[in-house]
Amino acid sequence: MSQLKLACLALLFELSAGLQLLVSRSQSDLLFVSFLLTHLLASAVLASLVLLSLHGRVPGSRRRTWLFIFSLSGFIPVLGMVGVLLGLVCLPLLPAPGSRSRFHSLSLPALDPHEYQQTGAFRQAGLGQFLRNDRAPVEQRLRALVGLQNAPARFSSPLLRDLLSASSEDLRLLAYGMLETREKRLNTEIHTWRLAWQDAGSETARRAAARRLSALYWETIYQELAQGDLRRHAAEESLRFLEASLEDADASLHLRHGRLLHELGRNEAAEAAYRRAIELGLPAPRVNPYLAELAFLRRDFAEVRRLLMSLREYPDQRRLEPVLRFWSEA
Amino acid sequence: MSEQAFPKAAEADVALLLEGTFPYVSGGVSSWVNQIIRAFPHIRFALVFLGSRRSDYGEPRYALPDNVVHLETHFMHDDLGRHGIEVAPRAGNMEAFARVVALHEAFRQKGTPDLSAFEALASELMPGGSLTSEDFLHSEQAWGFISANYRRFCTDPSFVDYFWTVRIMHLPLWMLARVAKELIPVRALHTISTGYAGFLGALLARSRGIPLILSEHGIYTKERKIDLYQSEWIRDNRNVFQKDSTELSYFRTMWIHFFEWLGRMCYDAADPIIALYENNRLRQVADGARAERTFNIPNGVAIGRLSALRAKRADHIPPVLCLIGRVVPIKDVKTFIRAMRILLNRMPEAEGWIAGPEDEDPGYARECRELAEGLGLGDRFRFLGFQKIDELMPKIGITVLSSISEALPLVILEGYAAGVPALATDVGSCRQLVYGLGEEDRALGAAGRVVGIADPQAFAEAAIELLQPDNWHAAQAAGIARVEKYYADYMMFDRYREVYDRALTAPVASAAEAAPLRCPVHRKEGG
Amino acid sequence: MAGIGFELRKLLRKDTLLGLLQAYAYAGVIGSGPWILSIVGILAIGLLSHAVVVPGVQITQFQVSVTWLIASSLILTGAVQLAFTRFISDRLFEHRDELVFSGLNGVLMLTALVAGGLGVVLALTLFSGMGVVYRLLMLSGFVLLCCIWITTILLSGLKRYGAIVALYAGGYAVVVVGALLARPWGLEGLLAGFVLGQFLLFFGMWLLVVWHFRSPQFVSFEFTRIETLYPSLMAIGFFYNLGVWADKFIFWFFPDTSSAIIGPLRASVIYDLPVFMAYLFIIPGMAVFLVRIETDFVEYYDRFYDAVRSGGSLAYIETMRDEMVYAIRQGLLEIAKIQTLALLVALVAGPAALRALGISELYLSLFYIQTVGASLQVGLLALLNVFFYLDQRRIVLMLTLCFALANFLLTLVTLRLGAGWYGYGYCAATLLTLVLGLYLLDHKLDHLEYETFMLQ
Repeated sequence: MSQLKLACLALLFELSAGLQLLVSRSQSDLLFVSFLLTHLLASAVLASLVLLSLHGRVPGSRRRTWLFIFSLSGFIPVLGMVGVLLGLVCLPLLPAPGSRSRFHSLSLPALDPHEYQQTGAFRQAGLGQFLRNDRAPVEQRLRALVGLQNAPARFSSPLLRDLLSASSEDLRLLAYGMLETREKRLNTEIHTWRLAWQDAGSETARRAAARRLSALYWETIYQELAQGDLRRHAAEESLRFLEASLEDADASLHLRHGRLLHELGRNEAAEAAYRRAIELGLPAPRVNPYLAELAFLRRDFAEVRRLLMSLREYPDQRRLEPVLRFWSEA
Repeated sequence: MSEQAFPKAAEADVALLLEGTFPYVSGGVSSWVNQIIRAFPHIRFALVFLGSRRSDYGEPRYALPDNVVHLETHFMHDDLGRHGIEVAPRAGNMEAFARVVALHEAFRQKGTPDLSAFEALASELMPGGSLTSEDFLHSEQAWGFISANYRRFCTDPSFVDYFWTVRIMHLPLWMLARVAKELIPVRALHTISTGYAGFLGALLARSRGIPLILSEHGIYTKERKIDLYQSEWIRDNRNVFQKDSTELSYFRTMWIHFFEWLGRMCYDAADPIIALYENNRLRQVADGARAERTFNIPNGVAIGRLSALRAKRADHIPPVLCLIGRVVPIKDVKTFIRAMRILLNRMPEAEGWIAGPEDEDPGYARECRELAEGLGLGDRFRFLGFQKIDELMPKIGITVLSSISEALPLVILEGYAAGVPALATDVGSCRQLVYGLGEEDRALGAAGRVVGIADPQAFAEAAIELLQPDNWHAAQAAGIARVEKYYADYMMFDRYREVYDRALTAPVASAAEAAPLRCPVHRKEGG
Repeated sequence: MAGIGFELRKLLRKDTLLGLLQAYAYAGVIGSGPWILSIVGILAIGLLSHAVVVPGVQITQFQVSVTWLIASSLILTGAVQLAFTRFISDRLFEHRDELVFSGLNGVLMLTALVAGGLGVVLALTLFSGMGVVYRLLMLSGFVLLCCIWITTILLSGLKRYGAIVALYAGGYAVVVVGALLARPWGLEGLLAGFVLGQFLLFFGMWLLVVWHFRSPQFVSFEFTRIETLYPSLMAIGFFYNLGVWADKFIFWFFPDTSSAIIGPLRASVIYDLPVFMAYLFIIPGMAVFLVRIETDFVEYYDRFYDAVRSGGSLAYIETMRDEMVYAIRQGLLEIAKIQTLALLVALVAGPAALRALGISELYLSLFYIQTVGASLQVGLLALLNVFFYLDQRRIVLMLTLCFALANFLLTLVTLRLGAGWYGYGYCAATLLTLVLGLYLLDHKLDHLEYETFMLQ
């Protein structure tokens, strides 16, 4: 049966129900029942009509939806039917729910007073000396070692490695645990990115993964985690991935390129890379010390001095100060 | 084997208390237990296996010898997960908790502790005692005690972590007390570690008046420390304002103290206390064992069976380094893998094998495989899974151990007997095994090389050196001589025969004497 | 040494310390809030029509009819309201938002079927022989009100208070205007206006739900699955509403205090008006209560359980507990203060109001005592709400049961004692329940950390 016919039918039933009320002003139960039955019939037709008109766009069970429409329309005489039709009109017109406000106000974090200690912090100059001192009490050295957790890996790794041969087993094991945790973190990340590199769908993704891998391998060198042949292996891997992802515009990548080549003993290529980094705008203080090192290896001391003295123009060379002083005096 | 198929008996001679080892976990200690049981076929053994959770273990790894007449298994952390049961509030036994408070107070005192109070209280854990697990879990007394201790001592702010650490730590004690009460009658007890098993041994020994033998392979508290140093899971919840960055996580310290005290109680109840080698014995004494009860019995291997393998070896030295052991962090397999990268750079024909199950710590095993892949070792490095020693030994050139902790590793001895030198890290008794203890022993020569832990470079260089034919043959000869002279299994069996004879013929102490509440003066004299 | 796998991380199952509780508790507040609005609306129609309309009897008939509709629909849906809100907040917590809309439709459908069926049966039995249009309007009104209570409680569970109030105001504006326009048609006209207003209110709320929760499913019966049914919440909802209406029913059926108004519906002129007027005076208390509980108590409540779950220190947990206690105390105190003010206003304005309504000033004391009782009921609501937050369903059930029983029995007693005592029954019942609740809350909060940690 077509929708139009159904609609007519529903209307017909509802009208006849209404007519009954208008015609007969009686108060008999019979009228109530007959009205209700006609209305329920109209509701049933309406429910079918709605389902049909939606052409299966009704999600979920059709029988339940039918029952829903029928019951609400049926037991709220007249208005229920109006509601169903209104809903049919309104639902598609509803705007998409707007996003809630984008900003939230945050309160200050609460300060938990538990065990707030002002004293008791371990203060010891020459931490390395102290840790290596086998005659110092193990308990103190353990605390010093735990304190090392927050030190930069580049400085603490060699110290931890030294402690692997400490006479106290506690120290050895803790140092090992700390080193191992660091390596594990880096290795896990390397593995993840290796997979990403292998599975990369696009050239950009592949380059991004390679750049990341190069940085991670470099990190194992920088943190002094890879030693000996493994350091060389890490440098080679880092270089391989770097060259696969080297973009001409990125000066800091060229600096790392230089440092890797330098690490691997390919000094001339390293020098070229350093120079490229400067051309691309890297400030001299970041590159010149390495160039000076290369010049030193060539035994070109005049060049070393020239390079280092050029750094005098830049402020705040505290870490290099002793070196600069030496070369200015020489 | 299902639990119903376990052998059950009404009584037995010796109860072996096994925490996380034979027959469910393979490894050195388990092999040793297997060796011992089979060496004494006339003794009827009852096995009590203690595990963490049922789901952590698969099927038994060993066939039970015929003289195991009884086996029961208990899992200490299985009942932690009970949820949704309505629990009624309860007050708790005030008198019992007063004693708990006093005991913990005593634990914190420096100096030699008096263990009688500990033992007395431990006996209250048994079914029918005044200190019930329900009280511990749900009573207001327990709440008061836990929260007060947290306030006084815990430097980590996270109360929920403290609370659960306390629960997880102590809850097994009640289970052990029940096990102690219900175990079938035995004439002697033999525990293979301190820790929870040692605590069970002490409870049994005290309540039944039977002798307790302690054979310690690793040192339990030390191994727990390694676990705790390694794991990142023990959260440190202190923020920057609270953190004294030089202080170890409070929870680690708590666990270590807890196991130290369990160990003390076991040392106090056990006689004899057997170590594998001298350093461990000294550590036992330092941890509270009485020196006069301690002595060493080193491991031994079956020379006859293994020496037959020497004939199966090829003429040349196979450039194969094999790590025989479980793939777990304590073995530091990663150092071996890294060393293989270095070795392969210099000796492309070399090979690295790992022969041992990987299922104990799948996460670590995966990391190892990833590392080998990342270092590009390719087919020169193989994970073989579990292998039969007799088939494996003839094919390998060096048995390696890169562990960060060992006791007296059987695989080195087995390698010696089969004619394979060893390359090991300087842990446990490895130095003694490779270079010899005493003058006479040292004179036999080096049976391999020892290097520092976590040093792949030194490890690889030592391997190259050892693979030189001259060095290798000298080491092989030294190894064979050493194992035959000092580490034959019959020597170990002889010593243990004495130990068992003494324990099994010891007069059963009367109940009164055995009662944990006996006079401390007598206890000191009794020794 | 093999050792036991030491990964206790897996064992630290602290996330199960407490299932996350949501603010389904608000149900209580809004559950009574709307019907106060309804009463205002009805009174307004009464007052506005008083002079103009038709025989005054019809206004009374209209008011009584609507009052009965409200009371019976509240009691009928009381069983579903709280349990359904809990169901919704649990689903939201699980991020199964799609079940909100379809779940609502499922419940609405069931409600329409049950309420409609019941309505038809009543129309043919108790209401047999009355005007067909009146019966049909009553049926529509009954089904609509049932659906409205459920949708309201859903929206209040979702904290859409603004929308609720706006929709109610709009709905009742239509009711008042519609009723006034339809006055010429007498009782049926007034009732038709009421039904039309309710219809728009319901439709608006329903659209709001659709708008917020698009769903692939149109109707679902997830709610009726056994594990998501909360029998205790159903009982609470039922008993609470029964308790609120118990004294009114008794007065309606007690021959001395009541009269038949229309068909089977009775009313008690002397009791009803003072009571409903008294309810108007609790609006400030409700507002204070909402603000206090929502801003202060809930904040500390969240922090408390956050600290419990995610590793706060015990000192912090205790501070939060203390803050919770303080917030509750402040809330109750402020309710007391504002209600005292309301009482003073009632004292001053009471005589004039009664005179305006044409009620004998003899009933002034009844009005006063009812205002006291209603004020106490605000406190009781606040208390129940706190218990809901603490997931103490057993205590809430006990309190609502106590309230219903006490109200029933004490009201009967006052009827025996005579007119001077009218109203004291209800007042004493709320006071009794409130005191009992305060005592239990005190004990509960004292042991909060112990029970949170140790009874699991």
